Amino acid sequence: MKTILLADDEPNLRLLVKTTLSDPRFRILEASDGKSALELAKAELPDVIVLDWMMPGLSGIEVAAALREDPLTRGISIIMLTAKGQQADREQTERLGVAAHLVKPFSPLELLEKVDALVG
Amino acid sequence: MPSSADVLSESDTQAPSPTTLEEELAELRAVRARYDETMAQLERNERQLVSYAQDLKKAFDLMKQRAEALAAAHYDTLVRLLRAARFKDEETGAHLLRLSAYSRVLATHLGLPREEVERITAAAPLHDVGKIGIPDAILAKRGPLDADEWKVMRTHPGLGGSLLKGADSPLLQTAYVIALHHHERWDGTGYPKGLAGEDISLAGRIVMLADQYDALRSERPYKPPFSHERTFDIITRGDGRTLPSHFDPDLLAAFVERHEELDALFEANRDAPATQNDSDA
Repeated sequence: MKTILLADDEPNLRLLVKTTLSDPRFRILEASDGKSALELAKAELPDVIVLDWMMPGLSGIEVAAALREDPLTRGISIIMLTAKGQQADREQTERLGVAAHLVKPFSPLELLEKVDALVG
Repeated sequence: MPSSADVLSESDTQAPSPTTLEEELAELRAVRARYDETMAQLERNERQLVSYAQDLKKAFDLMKQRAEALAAAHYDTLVRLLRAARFKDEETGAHLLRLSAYSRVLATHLGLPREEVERITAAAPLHDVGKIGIPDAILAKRGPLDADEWKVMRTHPGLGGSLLKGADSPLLQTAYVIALHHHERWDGTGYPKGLAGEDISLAGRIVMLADQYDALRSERPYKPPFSHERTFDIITRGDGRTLPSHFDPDLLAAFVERHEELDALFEANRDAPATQNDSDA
């Protein structure tokens, strides 16, 4: 049983991503802001986190950095799902060693393929 | 004193009259209705989008399933082709299994990508498929072959190659070079073409060493089975027939590191007793 954590402040987007990835082999958890995403990640140690960047409070990039800092959560694969798609943004996530940087509006097929490659 | 009516013109009149209030109310209601309708439309769109997402996941899973089934069916066909070849040959199922396993160990040690390791492992059993074109009299002969018979026997790599040539799939392309090259030697004294060094495909070199190891360990009409120690010695130091120069030096080094695993694989997968024939398939 693989665990996927979805972190995005938009409930409609969480619903869409959850539906797209829905699979009997996956347990899908949700977080609506950065702080609870980080807490949930440390508590549940998901295999993959689908992470929005712009969230109130702790941003996605800060969550990603914190996950990388902590040896406990360092192994979690990060898929950045964000409207921020400039070269500078991509470089920033790349430096953190994210598994993928998908720009909104994202291709659901691309998301499916990335997740499949990581936990399929 | 002028009355307010004199100072203000009609168009300046801002005092709400019952008519204007009703109009504003009506407009507000209309706006509200449009808002409600827009929200309802958004909700319908949202539900439709969810439906798309569900179908997309289903289609993706189906696609993946079909790709896997195709690969399995493809491989199944190869294995059956292989068994057709084995009807005419002494080689046992266990030998082919061991050959795959040795190849996997050596390929992994050389640090090849996982996909390539798996491909070589899967294709290795096809190395002798060309024997299907060798006359039974020669294949089934118990004693040593004479010069003419050897000449015929040495055509089996080429025959295997012609069977597998021009295939689409990477798996069969690897099987092609393995069939062609598994009797070539690093120093160019092999057959059928006397290729040398890196002109011989890596897959071919790997299977050649794996095949040599297994042949030395196994019983043949012309020789008893050799122990692992004696086999190790023959491969690494030569015995006049087999020489270290026959092998790729990197492969020899890999063999020296991993030889115990090959021994374990041989012991774990010995041929079934001679009374059992190809019903073991």
